[in-house]
Amino acid sequence: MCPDQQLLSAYYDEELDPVWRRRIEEHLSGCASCSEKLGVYAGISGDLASAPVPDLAESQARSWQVIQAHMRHPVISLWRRRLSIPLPIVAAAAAAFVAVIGLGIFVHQPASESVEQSVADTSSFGLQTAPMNVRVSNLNDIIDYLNSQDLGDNVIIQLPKNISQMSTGQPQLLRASDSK
Amino acid sequence: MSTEGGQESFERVYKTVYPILIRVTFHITGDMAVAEDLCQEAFIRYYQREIPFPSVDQAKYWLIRVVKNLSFNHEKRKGREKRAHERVLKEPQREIDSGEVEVMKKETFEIVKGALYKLPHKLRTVLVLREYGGLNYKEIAGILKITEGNVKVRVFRAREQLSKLIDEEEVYVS
Repeated sequence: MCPDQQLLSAYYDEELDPVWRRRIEEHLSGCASCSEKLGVYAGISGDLASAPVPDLAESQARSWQVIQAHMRHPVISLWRRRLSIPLPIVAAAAAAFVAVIGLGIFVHQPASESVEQSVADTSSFGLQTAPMNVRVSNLNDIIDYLNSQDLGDNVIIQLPKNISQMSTGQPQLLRASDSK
Repeated sequence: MSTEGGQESFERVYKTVYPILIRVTFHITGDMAVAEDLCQEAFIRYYQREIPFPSVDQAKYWLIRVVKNLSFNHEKRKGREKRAHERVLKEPQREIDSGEVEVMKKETFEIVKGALYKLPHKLRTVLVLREYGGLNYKEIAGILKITEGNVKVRVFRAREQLSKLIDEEEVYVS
């Protein structure tokens, strides 16, 4: 019985321990198929060795020039470059940063006041913001109620917070309102 | 490695390791210009290392690992560029005229070279390290951070695939 071909490959590379090497040698002496396989591996090595290689000495000298040039004038990438910043500059930068943040807070405060002012202004135009609790059981009741009241153009309807809406609820509401 | 002793040691490592490094890299990439670039990059990285290696062999293994990784990244980038180029052009493959078959007859080394670059990178690398680097399974395992058993399997598979590819190519051109 022929050995695993991986063993033949390892035998060819002289990577087997003496016991296995002896066994393979014994097998090879009587097996033409495995001997042929070994010949294929030797053929591959021979073919690979026949591939021409460019002049390595020239390449070595050329690369040495490039490496020497790099060693004399190293090109350090931005992220690996070490920076030394004088302490006064660091302090000035920190002060500027604090000033910018402070200015931002200062500028932001009047803006919030103006929003409050605008809310107050809108209420002074007669918008009724106080909520009215009306008990209804379906969409028709809401529409009837709205028709019966003179509430102007803008009405906000707030649904109960604990309402459970099914995934089919919204299209039904839309269809119902469209049909009105 | 800025001391004078460091410079001497660097030169020694360079003189000893460069020949095997460029040979291995050339056969992994198949392109001398690319191989030189990668070897230079590896040695520059080696020079920038703060911690020296205890022996030239250890330095060699480290440098081979660096070029192996660099060549793999280069191949991936090249593959992406090639695919992008093909997508842009979308040119159909030209039919080969039977009269050109004679011209396509190749030398054995060209067939082997072509077959070698058809191997997946990880199979090609172990075979090149074995055949051109003259490294044993233990050394290859140490460089690639895999087990010796894994090296054995990869070398075997590389040989099998290469043998098959060479046979197919020889049948095609004959």
